[in-house]
Amino acid sequence: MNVSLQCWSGYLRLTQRWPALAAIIPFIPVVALWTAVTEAGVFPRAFLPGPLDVARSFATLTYKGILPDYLQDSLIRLFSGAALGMALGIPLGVLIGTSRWAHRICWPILLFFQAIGDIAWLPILLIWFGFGLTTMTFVIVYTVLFPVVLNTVLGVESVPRDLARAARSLGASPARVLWEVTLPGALPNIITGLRNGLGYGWRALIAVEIIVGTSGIGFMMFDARRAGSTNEILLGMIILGLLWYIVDAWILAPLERATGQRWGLVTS
Amino acid sequence: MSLVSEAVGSGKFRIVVGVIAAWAGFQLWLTLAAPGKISPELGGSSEKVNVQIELPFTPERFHVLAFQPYGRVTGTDDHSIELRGVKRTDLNAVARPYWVTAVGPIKQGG
Repeated sequence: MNVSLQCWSGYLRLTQRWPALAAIIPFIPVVALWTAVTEAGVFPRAFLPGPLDVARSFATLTYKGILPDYLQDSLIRLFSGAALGMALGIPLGVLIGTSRWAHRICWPILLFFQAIGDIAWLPILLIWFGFGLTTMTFVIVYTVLFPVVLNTVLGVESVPRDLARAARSLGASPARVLWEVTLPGALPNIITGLRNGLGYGWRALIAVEIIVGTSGIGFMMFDARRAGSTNEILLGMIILGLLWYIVDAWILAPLERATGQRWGLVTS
Repeated sequence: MSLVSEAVGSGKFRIVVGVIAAWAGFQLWLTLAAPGKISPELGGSSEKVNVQIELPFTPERFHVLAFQPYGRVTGTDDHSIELRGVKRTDLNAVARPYWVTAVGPIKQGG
């Protein structure tokens, strides 16, 4: 008991001093267990390679330029799809949130299409656009769009009406109320929607790259299956997890916290 | 404190920005270094040239596919790829990847 308490306090002191370690330490037992299982020869190496084999694969694929190129393709697809999804989703969400008529017309349509998953679109998208970038972009935009729209509507509707009334009584035009009251008030929800949308979009992108792609991390993993290279499949999985951790915990979460704190939804 | 400065105040965010800046710098360096990889023997006035692209490893399908938009891949060697009908204006793009060590004329017997 005493030893475990000492370990815990040591862990807390360590992570207090170097906060970045808090993200790495939980993975140490996972990697240790993985190493132990592979070293014990429980499974053949071709079936479950060890961490060092995967690290070697990482070095080789980077040296040959394959990994950076595929990673770049995946990230460009994700961020361009997310940007387009936001450009469509935020105005649509604001419109639905501020106009009762728009809400009546768009809400049932939104809910209808929300139920049709992104991958369910693939068969018809392949007929319409073929195996190409358009199909991939469509799926990502579609995936990002719904969380952004729904959260934007929620954000717009949760801005206290009194704030808008107060601004109007001080002479603000509707456009100024929208820009200076409604949008800033809805921003924490918009960021939450973006965070969810990007997460779903990232997963959808990998699925689409597996089915449609000729490049990208998803394609690399699926192509490695052809050659029976489990190293590359595991490497792809690790990269997916790491990248999403960095994008979510290092970029989106601080942004979400900052907007939440700014508007008093969260206190530090 | 403004929203942007609050968001970028995080150390992790700055690391990400640093990595992106390093990547952008690397891309700039690749662009600047590309002309230096092209052999002077490729000089001339013809619109298109046939080139041999040297790599430090045996080319794979990925590398062959990467050059297909620039010309016809007519063969691969232990450490090189033959590419025919490359426009002179595309030579820098062919030489740009960091895994290309040199771009020269096709060697005899190639």
